[in-house]
Amino acid sequence: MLYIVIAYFYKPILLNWIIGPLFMLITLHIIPTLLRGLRDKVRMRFTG
Amino acid sequence: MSWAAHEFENYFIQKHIGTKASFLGVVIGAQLPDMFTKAFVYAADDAAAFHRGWPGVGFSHSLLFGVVFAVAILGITKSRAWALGVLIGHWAHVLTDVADTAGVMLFFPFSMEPLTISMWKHAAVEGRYGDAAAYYSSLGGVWDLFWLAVTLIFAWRTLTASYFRDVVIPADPRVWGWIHRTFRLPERALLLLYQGLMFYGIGRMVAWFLYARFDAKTPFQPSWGGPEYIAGNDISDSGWVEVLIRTGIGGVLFVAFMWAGWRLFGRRLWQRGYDVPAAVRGPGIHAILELPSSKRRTVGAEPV
Ligand SMILES: [Zn+2]
Repeated sequence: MLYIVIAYFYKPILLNWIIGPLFMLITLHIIPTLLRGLRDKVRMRFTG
Repeated sequence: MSWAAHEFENYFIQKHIGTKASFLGVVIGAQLPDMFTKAFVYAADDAAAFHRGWPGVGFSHSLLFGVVFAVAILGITKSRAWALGVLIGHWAHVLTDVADTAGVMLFFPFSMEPLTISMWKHAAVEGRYGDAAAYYSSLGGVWDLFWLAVTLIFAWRTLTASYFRDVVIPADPRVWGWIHRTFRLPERALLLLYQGLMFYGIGRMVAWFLYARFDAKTPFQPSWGGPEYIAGNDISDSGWVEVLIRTGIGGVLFVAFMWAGWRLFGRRLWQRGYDVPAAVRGPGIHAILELPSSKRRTVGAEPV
Protein backbone atom coordinates (compact mmCIF):
# COMPACT_ATOMS: atom_id res chain seq x y z
CA MET A 1 0.00 0.00 0.00
CA LEU A 2 2.70 2.40 1.05
CA TYR A 3 4.70 1.34 -1.98
CA ILE A 4 1.84 2.19 -4.31
CA VAL A 5 1.52 5.65 -2.81
CA ILE A 6 5.25 6.28 -3.17
CA ALA A 7 5.39 4.76 -6.64
CA TYR A 8 2.49 6.89 -7.81
CA PHE A 9 4.32 10.11 -7.10
CA TYR A 10 7.92 9.13 -7.53
CA LYS A 11 8.89 7.16 -10.58
CA PRO A 12 12.58 7.34 -11.46
CA ILE A 13 14.66 4.31 -12.35
CA LEU A 14 16.07 4.06 -8.83
CA LEU A 15 12.70 3.22 -7.33
CA ASN A 16 11.61 1.05 -10.18
CA TRP A 17 14.60 -1.18 -10.62
CA ILE A 18 16.40 -1.18 -7.32
CA ILE A 19 14.15 -0.32 -4.41
CA GLY A 20 11.05 -1.90 -5.97
CA PRO A 21 12.13 -5.54 -5.84
CA LEU A 22 13.89 -4.99 -2.50
CA PHE A 23 11.00 -3.10 -0.90
CA MET A 24 9.69 -5.97 1.20
CA LEU A 25 13.16 -6.83 2.40
CA ILE A 26 13.89 -3.23 3.35
CA THR A 27 10.63 -2.45 5.16
CA LEU A 28 10.06 -5.80 6.82
CA HIS A 29 13.60 -6.79 7.70
CA ILE A 30 16.36 -4.22 7.34
CA ILE A 31 14.55 -1.25 8.90
CA PRO A 32 13.15 -3.25 11.87
CA THR A 33 16.58 -4.78 12.47
CA LEU A 34 18.26 -1.38 12.45
CA LEU A 35 15.62 0.07 14.76
CA ARG A 36 15.97 -2.84 17.16
CA GLY A 37 19.73 -2.34 17.17
CA LEU A 38 19.31 1.38 17.90
CA ARG A 39 16.75 0.75 20.64
CA ASP A 40 19.03 -1.77 22.32
CA LYS A 41 21.91 0.68 22.19
CA VAL A 42 19.81 3.44 23.79
CA ARG A 43 18.56 1.08 26.49
CA MET A 44 22.11 -0.08 27.23
CA ARG A 45 23.19 3.50 27.82
CA PHE A 46 20.39 4.23 30.29
CA THR A 47 20.33 0.98 32.20
CA GLY A 48 24.11 0.71 32.17
CA MET B 1 6.24 -4.93 -24.40
CA SER B 2 4.79 -6.31 -21.25
CA TRP B 3 5.28 -4.81 -17.82
CA ALA B 4 4.44 -6.66 -14.64
CA ALA B 5 3.72 -9.90 -16.52
CA HIS B 6 7.49 -10.37 -16.73
CA GLU B 7 7.59 -10.55 -12.92
CA PHE B 8 4.55 -12.77 -12.34
CA GLU B 9 5.63 -15.31 -14.96
CA ASN B 10 8.72 -16.22 -12.99
CA TYR B 11 6.73 -17.88 -10.21
CA PHE B 12 4.58 -19.77 -12.67
CA ILE B 13 7.77 -21.01 -14.34
CA GLN B 14 9.27 -21.87 -10.95
CA LYS B 15 6.36 -24.22 -10.34
CA HIS B 16 7.31 -26.17 -13.44
CA ILE B 17 11.07 -26.29 -13.07
CA GLY B 18 11.23 -27.22 -9.38
CA THR B 19 14.86 -27.91 -8.53
CA LYS B 20 15.92 -28.33 -12.16
CA ALA B 21 16.85 -24.67 -12.69
CA SER B 22 17.68 -21.61 -10.60
CA PHE B 23 14.89 -19.13 -9.83
CA LEU B 24 17.43 -16.29 -9.77
CA GLY B 25 18.60 -17.42 -13.20
CA VAL B 26 15.04 -17.22 -14.48
CA VAL B 27 14.66 -13.71 -13.07
CA ILE B 28 17.87 -12.50 -14.71
CA GLY B 29 16.95 -14.19 -17.98
CA ALA B 30 13.52 -12.54 -17.97
CA GLN B 31 15.14 -9.12 -17.53
CA LEU B 32 17.85 -9.59 -20.18
CA PRO B 33 15.96 -8.43 -23.29
CA ASP B 34 14.96 -5.07 -21.81
CA MET B 35 17.72 -4.53 -19.25
CA PHE B 36 20.26 -3.01 -21.63
CA THR B 37 17.90 -1.73 -24.27
CA LYS B 38 14.98 0.08 -22.60
CA ALA B 39 16.81 3.34 -21.92
CA PHE B 40 18.00 3.59 -25.53
CA VAL B 41 14.60 2.59 -26.85
CA TYR B 42 12.90 5.62 -25.32
CA ALA B 43 15.56 7.86 -26.83
CA ALA B 44 15.33 6.40 -30.34
CA ASP B 45 13.61 8.19 -33.23
CA ASP B 46 11.55 5.18 -34.20
CA ALA B 47 11.23 3.46 -30.84
CA ALA B 48 9.31 0.38 -31.95
CA ALA B 49 11.58 -0.41 -34.91
CA PHE B 50 14.69 0.13 -32.81
CA HIS B 51 13.41 -2.01 -29.94
CA ARG B 52 12.26 -4.99 -31.98
CA GLY B 53 13.66 -4.63 -35.51
CA TRP B 54 16.89 -4.86 -37.41
CA PRO B 55 18.91 -2.65 -37.57
CA GLY B 56 18.22 -1.99 -33.91
CA VAL B 57 18.27 -4.04 -30.73
CA GLY B 58 15.50 -6.39 -31.83
CA PHE B 59 17.92 -9.29 -31.63
CA SER B 60 17.64 -9.08 -27.83
CA HIS B 61 14.11 -10.41 -28.29
CA SER B 62 15.11 -13.48 -30.34
CA LEU B 63 15.38 -17.06 -29.12
CA LEU B 64 19.01 -17.25 -30.21
CA PHE B 65 20.01 -14.37 -27.91
CA GLY B 66 18.93 -16.39 -24.88
CA VAL B 67 20.80 -19.42 -26.18
CA VAL B 68 24.02 -17.41 -26.55
CA PHE B 69 23.78 -16.24 -22.94
CA ALA B 70 22.90 -19.70 -21.66
CA VAL B 71 25.85 -21.27 -23.49
CA ALA B 72 28.21 -18.61 -22.14
CA ILE B 73 26.95 -19.20 -18.59
CA LEU B 74 27.25 -22.95 -18.94
CA GLY B 75 30.77 -22.57 -20.30
CA ILE B 76 31.94 -20.18 -17.59
CA THR B 77 30.11 -21.32 -14.44
CA LYS B 78 29.40 -24.94 -15.48
CA SER B 79 26.12 -24.58 -13.60
CA ARG B 80 23.30 -26.34 -15.44
CA ALA B 81 20.71 -24.78 -13.12
CA TRP B 82 21.81 -21.27 -14.08
CA ALA B 83 22.17 -21.92 -17.82
CA LEU B 84 18.69 -23.44 -17.94
CA GLY B 85 17.20 -20.76 -15.70
CA VAL B 86 18.49 -17.90 -17.86
CA LEU B 87 17.36 -19.65 -21.04
CA ILE B 88 13.85 -20.34 -19.76
CA GLY B 89 13.44 -16.84 -18.31
CA HIS B 90 14.63 -15.21 -21.54
CA TRP B 91 12.42 -17.31 -23.79
CA ALA B 92 9.40 -16.64 -21.59
CA HIS B 93 10.01 -12.89 -21.93
CA VAL B 94 10.35 -13.12 -25.71
CA LEU B 95 7.18 -15.19 -26.08
CA THR B 96 5.24 -12.81 -23.83
CA ASP B 97 6.23 -9.86 -26.02
CA VAL B 98 4.65 -11.49 -29.08
CA ALA B 99 1.40 -9.91 -27.96
CA ASP B 100 2.19 -6.25 -28.77
CA THR B 101 2.05 -4.71 -32.24
CA ALA B 102 5.81 -4.40 -32.76
CA GLY B 103 6.23 -8.15 -32.28
CA VAL B 104 9.47 -10.10 -31.90
CA MET B 105 11.92 -11.54 -34.42
CA LEU B 106 11.69 -14.99 -32.88
CA PHE B 107 14.14 -16.68 -35.24
CA PHE B 108 16.58 -13.82 -35.85
CA PRO B 109 18.93 -13.90 -37.78
CA PHE B 110 17.22 -16.62 -39.82
CA SER B 111 14.07 -14.56 -40.22
CA MET B 112 13.84 -10.77 -39.81
CA GLU B 113 10.05 -10.89 -39.80
CA PRO B 114 8.57 -9.69 -36.51
CA LEU B 115 5.90 -12.04 -35.21
CA THR B 116 2.89 -10.55 -33.43
CA ILE B 117 -0.69 -11.18 -32.46
CA SER B 118 -1.23 -7.39 -32.09
CA MET B 119 -3.17 -7.53 -28.85
CA TRP B 120 -2.11 -4.03 -27.83
CA LYS B 121 0.02 -1.21 -29.25
CA HIS B 122 3.74 -1.02 -28.65
CA ALA B 123 3.87 2.56 -27.40
CA ALA B 124 7.49 3.28 -26.49
CA VAL B 125 7.28 6.19 -28.93
CA GLU B 126 5.29 7.97 -26.20
CA GLY B 127 8.26 7.97 -23.83
CA ARG B 128 8.44 6.09 -20.56
CA TYR B 129 5.40 7.56 -18.82
CA GLY B 130 3.31 7.71 -21.97
CA ASP B 131 4.22 4.11 -22.67
CA ALA B 132 3.07 3.09 -19.21
CA ALA B 133 -0.17 5.05 -19.57
CA ALA B 134 -0.86 3.48 -22.97
CA TYR B 135 -0.03 -0.01 -21.75
CA TYR B 136 -2.37 0.24 -18.80
CA SER B 137 -5.08 1.69 -21.03
CA SER B 138 -4.99 -1.32 -23.34
CA LEU B 139 -5.34 -5.08 -23.13
CA GLY B 140 -1.74 -5.03 -21.89
CA GLY B 141 -2.94 -4.13 -18.42
CA VAL B 142 -5.47 -6.95 -18.64
CA TRP B 143 -2.66 -9.27 -19.73
CA ASP B 144 -0.75 -8.35 -16.54
CA LEU B 145 -3.87 -9.03 -14.48
CA PHE B 146 -4.32 -12.36 -16.26
CA TRP B 147 -0.77 -13.43 -15.34
CA LEU B 148 -1.27 -12.29 -11.79
CA ALA B 149 -4.41 -14.45 -11.57
CA VAL B 150 -2.71 -17.44 -13.20
CA THR B 151 0.21 -17.16 -10.81
CA LEU B 152 -1.95 -16.77 -7.70
CA ILE B 153 -4.31 -19.58 -8.66
CA PHE B 154 -1.91 -22.17 -10.05
CA ALA B 155 1.42 -21.27 -8.47
CA TRP B 156 0.52 -19.75 -5.08
CA ARG B 157 2.34 -22.58 -3.38
CA THR B 158 5.67 -21.34 -4.82
CA LEU B 159 5.28 -18.21 -2.69
CA THR B 160 5.19 -20.08 0.63
CA ALA B 161 8.07 -20.28 3.07
CA SER B 162 8.17 -24.07 2.98
CA TYR B 163 8.37 -24.17 -0.82
CA PHE B 164 11.17 -21.62 -0.72
CA ARG B 165 13.09 -23.72 1.80
CA ASP B 166 12.44 -27.09 0.16
CA VAL B 167 12.76 -26.26 -3.52
CA VAL B 168 14.06 -22.78 -4.36
CA ILE B 169 17.14 -22.79 -2.12
CA PRO B 170 18.18 -26.42 -2.83
CA ALA B 171 17.94 -25.63 -6.55
CA ASP B 172 20.61 -22.94 -6.17
CA PRO B 173 22.40 -23.35 -2.82
CA ARG B 174 25.53 -21.54 -4.01
CA VAL B 175 24.07 -18.17 -4.86
CA TRP B 176 21.47 -18.10 -2.06
CA GLY B 177 24.27 -19.12 0.30
CA TRP B 178 26.45 -16.35 -1.03
CA ILE B 179 23.71 -13.73 -0.49
CA HIS B 180 23.11 -15.17 2.97
CA ARG B 181 26.77 -14.81 3.97
CA THR B 182 27.69 -11.61 2.17
CA PHE B 183 24.74 -9.52 3.31
CA ARG B 184 24.27 -11.45 6.57
CA LEU B 185 20.63 -12.09 5.81
CA PRO B 186 18.80 -14.81 7.74
CA GLU B 187 16.51 -17.21 5.89
CA ARG B 188 13.46 -15.09 6.68
CA ALA B 189 15.08 -12.13 4.89
CA LEU B 190 15.98 -14.29 1.89
CA LEU B 191 12.33 -15.29 1.69
CA LEU B 192 11.33 -11.62 1.64
CA LEU B 193 13.80 -11.06 -1.16
CA TYR B 194 12.26 -13.97 -3.07
CA GLN B 195 8.67 -12.85 -2.51
CA GLY B 196 9.63 -9.22 -3.11
CA LEU B 197 9.58 -9.58 -6.87
CA MET B 198 5.93 -10.68 -6.80
CA PHE B 199 5.09 -7.77 -4.53
CA TYR B 200 7.00 -5.44 -6.85
CA GLY B 201 5.01 -6.68 -9.84
CA ILE B 202 1.71 -6.04 -8.10
CA GLY B 203 2.79 -2.64 -6.79
CA ARG B 204 4.05 -1.59 -10.19
CA MET B 205 0.90 -2.73 -11.92
CA VAL B 206 -1.45 -0.94 -9.53
CA ALA B 207 0.65 2.24 -9.38
CA TRP B 208 0.95 2.60 -13.15
CA PHE B 209 -2.71 1.77 -13.63
CA LEU B 210 -3.67 4.53 -11.20
CA TYR B 211 -1.22 6.86 -12.94
CA ALA B 212 -2.88 6.16 -16.29
CA ARG B 213 -6.37 6.81 -14.87
CA PHE B 214 -5.84 9.81 -12.61
CA ASP B 215 -2.62 11.52 -13.69
CA ALA B 216 -2.14 10.92 -17.41
CA LYS B 217 -5.97 10.61 -17.70
CA THR B 218 -5.77 8.42 -20.79
CA PRO B 219 -9.00 6.68 -21.85
CA PHE B 220 -9.24 3.01 -20.87
CA GLN B 221 -9.68 1.17 -24.20
CA PRO B 222 -9.10 -2.54 -23.67
CA SER B 223 -10.03 -3.63 -27.18
CA TRP B 224 -7.91 -5.78 -29.48
CA GLY B 225 -5.04 -3.67 -30.85
CA GLY B 226 -5.82 -0.73 -28.54
CA PRO B 227 -5.58 1.81 -27.17
CA GLU B 228 -7.17 3.75 -30.03
CA TYR B 229 -5.81 7.15 -29.06
CA ILE B 230 -2.32 6.10 -30.15
CA ALA B 231 -1.32 5.80 -33.81
CA GLY B 232 -0.40 2.29 -34.93
CA ASN B 233 3.26 1.41 -35.18
CA ASP B 234 3.43 -2.02 -36.71
CA ILE B 235 7.07 -2.21 -37.83
CA SER B 236 6.40 -4.62 -40.69
CA ASP B 237 4.18 -4.07 -43.73
CA SER B 238 4.17 -7.63 -45.06
CA GLY B 239 0.97 -9.66 -45.29
CA TRP B 240 0.34 -12.67 -43.10
CA VAL B 241 1.23 -15.19 -45.82
CA GLU B 242 4.65 -13.59 -46.20
CA VAL B 243 5.10 -13.53 -42.44
CA LEU B 244 4.13 -17.19 -42.21
CA ILE B 245 6.52 -18.30 -44.94
CA ARG B 246 9.50 -16.30 -43.66
CA THR B 247 8.88 -17.38 -40.09
CA GLY B 248 8.52 -21.00 -41.20
CA ILE B 249 11.84 -20.94 -43.03
CA GLY B 250 13.45 -19.10 -40.11
CA GLY B 251 12.08 -21.68 -37.68
CA VAL B 252 13.42 -24.63 -39.65
CA LEU B 253 16.86 -23.00 -39.99
CA PHE B 254 16.86 -22.15 -36.27
CA VAL B 255 16.06 -25.73 -35.26
CA ALA B 256 18.73 -27.06 -37.64
CA PHE B 257 21.25 -24.58 -36.22
CA MET B 258 20.38 -25.56 -32.65
CA TRP B 259 20.71 -29.24 -33.46
CA ALA B 260 24.09 -28.73 -35.13
CA GLY B 261 25.27 -26.59 -32.22
CA TRP B 262 24.19 -29.26 -29.75
CA ARG B 263 26.04 -31.97 -31.66
CA LEU B 264 29.17 -29.87 -32.15
CA PHE B 265 29.69 -28.44 -28.67
CA GLY B 266 26.45 -28.03 -26.72
CA ARG B 267 26.33 -31.63 -25.57
CA ARG B 268 29.96 -31.59 -24.47
CA LEU B 269 29.44 -28.38 -22.48
CA TRP B 270 26.34 -29.88 -20.84
CA GLN B 271 28.22 -33.01 -19.84
CA ARG B 272 31.03 -30.92 -18.35
CA GLY B 273 28.45 -28.97 -16.33
CA TYR B 274 27.30 -29.97 -12.85
CA ASP B 275 23.94 -30.43 -11.19
CA VAL B 276 23.05 -29.48 -7.63
CA PRO B 277 22.42 -32.57 -5.44
CA ALA B 278 18.70 -31.78 -5.24
CA ALA B 279 18.19 -31.80 -9.02
CA VAL B 280 16.81 -35.01 -10.45
CA ARG B 281 16.59 -35.01 -14.22
CA GLY B 282 14.22 -37.31 -16.02
CA PRO B 283 14.47 -38.19 -19.72
CA GLY B 284 13.66 -35.75 -22.55
CA ILE B 285 11.52 -32.76 -21.58
CA HIS B 286 11.42 -34.03 -17.98
CA ALA B 287 15.08 -33.09 -17.73
CA ILE B 288 13.97 -29.46 -17.74
CA LEU B 289 10.37 -29.27 -16.62
CA GLU B 290 8.47 -30.76 -13.73
CA LEU B 291 5.29 -31.91 -15.45
CA PRO B 292 2.35 -33.74 -13.90
CA SER B 293 3.55 -36.78 -15.82
CA SER B 294 7.06 -36.55 -14.34
CA LYS B 295 7.56 -39.02 -11.56
CA ARG B 296 6.82 -37.16 -8.36
CA ARG B 297 9.69 -37.05 -6.01
CA THR B 298 9.91 -35.78 -2.47
CA VAL B 299 12.59 -33.22 -1.84
CA GLY B 300 14.58 -33.78 1.31
CA ALA B 301 14.39 -30.69 3.46
CA GLU B 302 17.92 -29.37 3.62
CA PRO B 303 18.35 -26.38 5.88
CA VAL B 304 20.85 -23.83 4.70
ZN1 LIG C 1 10.59 -7.02 -23.88
